[in-house]
Formats: sequence, C-alpha cells, structure tokens
Amino acid sequence: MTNRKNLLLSITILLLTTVVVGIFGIVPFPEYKTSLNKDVTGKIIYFSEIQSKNIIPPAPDIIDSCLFEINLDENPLKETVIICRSDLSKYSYEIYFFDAQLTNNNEVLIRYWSDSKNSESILLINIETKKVTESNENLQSRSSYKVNSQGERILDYWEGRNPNSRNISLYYQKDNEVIEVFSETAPTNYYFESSNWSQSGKNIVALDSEGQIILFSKNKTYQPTKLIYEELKHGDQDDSRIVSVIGWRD
Amino acid sequence: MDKNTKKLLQKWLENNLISQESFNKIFEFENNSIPTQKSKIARAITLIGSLFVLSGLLGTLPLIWMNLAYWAQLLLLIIITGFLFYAASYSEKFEEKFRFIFKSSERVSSILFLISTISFGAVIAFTLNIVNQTNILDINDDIAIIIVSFSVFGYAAYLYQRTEMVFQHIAFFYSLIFLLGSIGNTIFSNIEPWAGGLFLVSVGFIWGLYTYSNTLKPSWLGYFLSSTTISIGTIILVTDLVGDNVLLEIILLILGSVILVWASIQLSEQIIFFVGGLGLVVNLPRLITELLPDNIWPPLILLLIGGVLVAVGLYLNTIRENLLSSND
Repeated sequence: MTNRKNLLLSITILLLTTVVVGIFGIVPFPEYKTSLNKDVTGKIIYFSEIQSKNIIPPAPDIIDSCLFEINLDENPLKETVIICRSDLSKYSYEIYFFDAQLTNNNEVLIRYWSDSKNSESILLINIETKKVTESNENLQSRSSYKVNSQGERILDYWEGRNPNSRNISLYYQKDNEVIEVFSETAPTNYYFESSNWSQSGKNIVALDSEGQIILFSKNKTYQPTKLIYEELKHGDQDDSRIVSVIGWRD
Repeated sequence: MDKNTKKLLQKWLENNLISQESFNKIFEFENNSIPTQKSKIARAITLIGSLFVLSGLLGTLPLIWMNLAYWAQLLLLIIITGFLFYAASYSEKFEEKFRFIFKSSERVSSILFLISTISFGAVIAFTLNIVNQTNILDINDDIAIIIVSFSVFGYAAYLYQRTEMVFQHIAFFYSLIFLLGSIGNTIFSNIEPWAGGLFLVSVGFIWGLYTYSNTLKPSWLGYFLSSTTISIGTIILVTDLVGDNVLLEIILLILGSVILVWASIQLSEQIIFFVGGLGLVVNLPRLITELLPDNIWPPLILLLIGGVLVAVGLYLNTIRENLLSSND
C-alpha cells in the first residue's frame, strides 16, 4: 500500500470518527436560567481555595482558603470575603472550612483542631460583622446540614443516579418518599459536587462539576438558575476554585 | 572473550565453516573489543561516581528549583534540553567498543533523546507559562496544551525520523495521542467516554496500518502499540455502551480478542497474539462465572482453557517458525 493511500485512509478514518463523535458522542450541558427570580433572596455562602497559577512544577499551591458570600439582593451580583484561614491563624492552622455550617443566629460555624484542648472545637463567625467567637457548644453532627427544618434530606448525587446514564438529577427524601427537584440530560461526567438547603427549607443551592453555583426551588416555583457574579481579584498570579457550597441564608 | 562465542567459533572451525585464519582474526577482534580487568575497575569507579553525581543532582535540584526566578528555571531547562540533545547526538557516533554501561551506543542515544523530549515539552510549557504571567499574551489553558502537545509531537516525529529507535517510536506514538487528545478535548469538551474509546480504536488502527506498510519500525513495537490501544479503546467503548448488560459486554470483548488472535495469525505477529490471548484469558473465565454462578467448576475450566490456550499459542508459533524457515 502506498503512503498516499495510507494517508488518505487515515484521514478518512479520523474524519469518520470525528463525525460519529460529533453527532452521537456529545451530550450538551444542562441549560440554566441566568436572571434571578424575585423570590430568590438572601445570601449564598461558599468555600473557595485560592491557588497560584503555575502550570508545571512547582505545582499550583493553595495560598489561602476563604469563605465567600454573594448577596442575592444586590445588582450586579458580586462575591465578598467573609473570612480566610489566614485570619484565623491565632486559633489554629487546622481550620476545617469544608464542613462549615450556617446557624440560625446569622453565623457560620467552623470546626478547627485546638492544640490547647487537644480536640475539635468550634468558632462562630458573624456574617455581618465578621466577628469571631469561640464556642463551647457541643459539636453538631456533620450530616445535620443535609436535613432542613421540615426533616427533608437532600440525596447525594450518587444516591439518585445511574452512573452510566446521560442524566443529572437532584432529589430530596421525605420519610419514605423520594421527590425529584430537577432532572435533565447531561454528559456522564457532569454532576453536583455539593448541595445544601436554604434556611427556609424551600430552596436548594448546589455546586456543579463545572464550578457553577445553581439555585433550585424545592417546589419548582422558579426554574433552576445559574449565578453569574463578579469574582474578586486575588492578585495577578492567583486564581480561586470553589470547593463546596456551605448554605443559603434566605 | 565471551565463552559462548568462543564455543561457537570452535564449533565452526571444527566443521570447516571458517578457516583457521578467520578464527584467529575473529578471536583477536573479540578479545580486543571486550574490556580488560583494569578497564572494568575504571568502569566500576566511574559508575559509582556517576550514581553519586545523579543522586546529588536529584537531591539538590528540587531544593534550588523553588528559589530560582522563572527566567532562571526556564534557562536551566533549556540548557538541560540542549545538553541532552547534544549528548544523544554525540553518543550516536560512538563506536561499539567504546560503549559504556548500556548494551549499545544506540540505546544510550535513544534514552538520552527520550529524556530530551520530556525536557523539551517542559521548556515549551514553561515558556507559555511565563508569557502568561507577564501578561504579554493571554493564552488560555486549552490552547496552551495544544501548543505544547503540537511542539512535542513535532520534536518526537523529527527524532523518530532521524533515529527510528524504540524509545523514539514510543515517544512519537504517545505524543500523537497527546496531541489528538488535546485537540479533541478543546473541540468536544464534554465528550462521552465511549467516544474517547472510539478515537483510541481509530488511532490504534491507523498505527497498525502504517506498521503494516513498513513505514513504522520495528514492526513488533508498532503492532504492540496498535493492538494495545485498540484493546483499551474497545474496553472503554463496550463498557460504556453496554456496561449494563455484563454478558453482552463479555461476549463482545471475547469477540474482539478472537479478532486480534486471527489478525496475529494473518500477519504472523506474535505480539498481537499475546494481546488477544490476554483478552481471552481475562474474559473467558468472566464468561464462565457469569454463566455458571456459584459453581465449583469455573476454576477447573479456567485451568483447562489456560492449558488449551498455551498449547494453541505454542502450536501456532511452531507452525509460523516452520513456515519462515521453509521460506528461507
């Protein structure tokens, strides 16, 4: 077989493959609304890591970790810092932002490792004043934030999804009943990384695998909405990545 | 002189295949080409010294790397790449009797060229990173990866065309996969896993085609890269599309393995037989377990199938060798 024939055959195979993949192998991401419904109010609180932008060694370093908030009543939406790990270094260097919880007193509860007590302890951060207080309360269960005031629990994405299906869903469970909040065709590798109830128990905030914050209404009173907001600048060489959504104070 | 070579020479001499004069010439040549005891000691000392230098470098570089400015890191990478390329080109010209540690000077230059390919990729990636940091250009990550993969592919293709050696063949193949993968990822960012498998099957098939037409050498390596890539692609494709139906999945994988075994016989290429045979060895017991759950027979059947496969493999190989020797 001549080289020209080989070349033609190779190009044909690659083009055919590309056409087949282009037609059947691509599942579009779900489309979300971007304009907020009037019923959507309050503040979204989430945890982000600030990383350096290096591509090759030294690999990206985590420069700091912070809790951010977005006030849904503002226009345009923009993120603001609540508190960073670097602000809490006098308490400990082991601050656990990933399972922070909202309390009913306009505060964020953060667990940390106290060297002096040699045990896990709690810090309460007031969202408005940013004032930090140490708490002597007993530690709440880490999974309690998955259940709202009506006793409804958000199912984790792997609980309600067939791993091979081209579908993304969000469910919550009430007693023995599983109720669907959202279901849409989506690529196999698309999922919700974390999700939380709003304090009213009527809304859900979720972080998807594309790093987008999505708002859902439990009763489908409005369509799922993607938050478009102005990101804070973290210096020329740094970037931020949302790790998890902490909650929605509405 | 090597004992086996000496025995062989004596056997040839006794059977009048070579003259006494030729025997003496070969004997003298072989004796001069192997290292003396003194040179062995010198080699050992140099080898130990080189190991110290290497461990010292490996220990020191990470420590100073973090303290170097970006431009200094880039300069260091460029110097390392240039040095590796020069050393590989220089070692290509070595006469065999000057070879050191490695079995041939070809292998030395092949390994040095391979390391220089990795270092070259790092230079391109680092240059793009610095350009981004200085805000001269704003190149997004996808485009940066395409530029890096295209440059590495070009360099690997040049080295393969120049040397046609094993490591350059491997680097050429995987740099092509890297390039196609990065382009595919940019065009189809949310591609389904089966589509990725289909791309692998296509690339493996194309590689096999070029090996078949003797464009790619050595043929065993071309067929090995081709058959393994086709196998991996098929596994991804089948698992993703029919993963819910385990029986169908296993049957399709067995069918694929049988096709590889058939191709190995058609092409008289052992390496494809091994890849296909491995597929059968893995999937036939899975099929038996699927058909006969909780049965004590599967281990015994596994043993029987394994025995049959080994016997068939050896038998096919014998036939092939017989055919080749009769052709000669």
